Amino acid sequence: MNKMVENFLRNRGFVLPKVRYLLRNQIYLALFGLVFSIILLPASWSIGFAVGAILGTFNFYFIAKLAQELIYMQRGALAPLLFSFYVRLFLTGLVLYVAIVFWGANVFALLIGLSIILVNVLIFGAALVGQKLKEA
Amino acid sequence: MRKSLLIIFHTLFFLGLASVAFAQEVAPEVVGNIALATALGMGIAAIGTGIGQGLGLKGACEGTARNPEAGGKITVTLLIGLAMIESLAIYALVINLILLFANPFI
Repeated sequence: MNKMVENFLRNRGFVLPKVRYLLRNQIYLALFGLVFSIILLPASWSIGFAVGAILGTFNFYFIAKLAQELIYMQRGALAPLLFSFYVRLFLTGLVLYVAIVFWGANVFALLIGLSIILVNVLIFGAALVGQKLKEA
Repeated sequence: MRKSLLIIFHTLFFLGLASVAFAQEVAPEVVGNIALATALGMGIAAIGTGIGQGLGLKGACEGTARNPEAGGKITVTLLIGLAMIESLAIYALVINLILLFANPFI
């Protein structure tokens, strides 16, 4: 399973193993949360969580793809970063607007779905600390 | 002096009347204030996020230029930083959308 996802990501241009690891965890967390919310939570909560999780995962995917290229740009890296940030923010706002106004998504579920990135990063940090402690 | 006092008094009077007229629904001043608050909130969030991401990218580029072999580690750190900074802007966006379209207080 892990190898399949990692191969998929490698074919998409994610050359760094740690970036693939982060992205893989993000996809797993989003899928796990989605299944959990569909089974256990009411419809408005599931919609909110699903929209939040999918938006967060897509945002993270595109940031990861951009960060790998940005780091090796000698000049003019700021313009693509800001342009992509504003385009992503606009699209995220559009989807959030539709989800809140038309689909009746629960706002707290939306925020929890969007916080999956933070959970992923915290897990990554905790794993790194655990690794360092094991080495010491 | 008297003229300006008269104008101020009239303005306040009509503003007061307007709030009585719209007492059943949401007062227009409230709607205006909410729109202003969301615009300011999103603007400040975007400024902060832009500055934060720009500084992070600047540091990462400088680090890679000094030590190109550390590029991989720097990319991972940059990615985490960018994701965490951007999530703040998205939270601000969600709060602003709630205030505008799903406000629980009005």
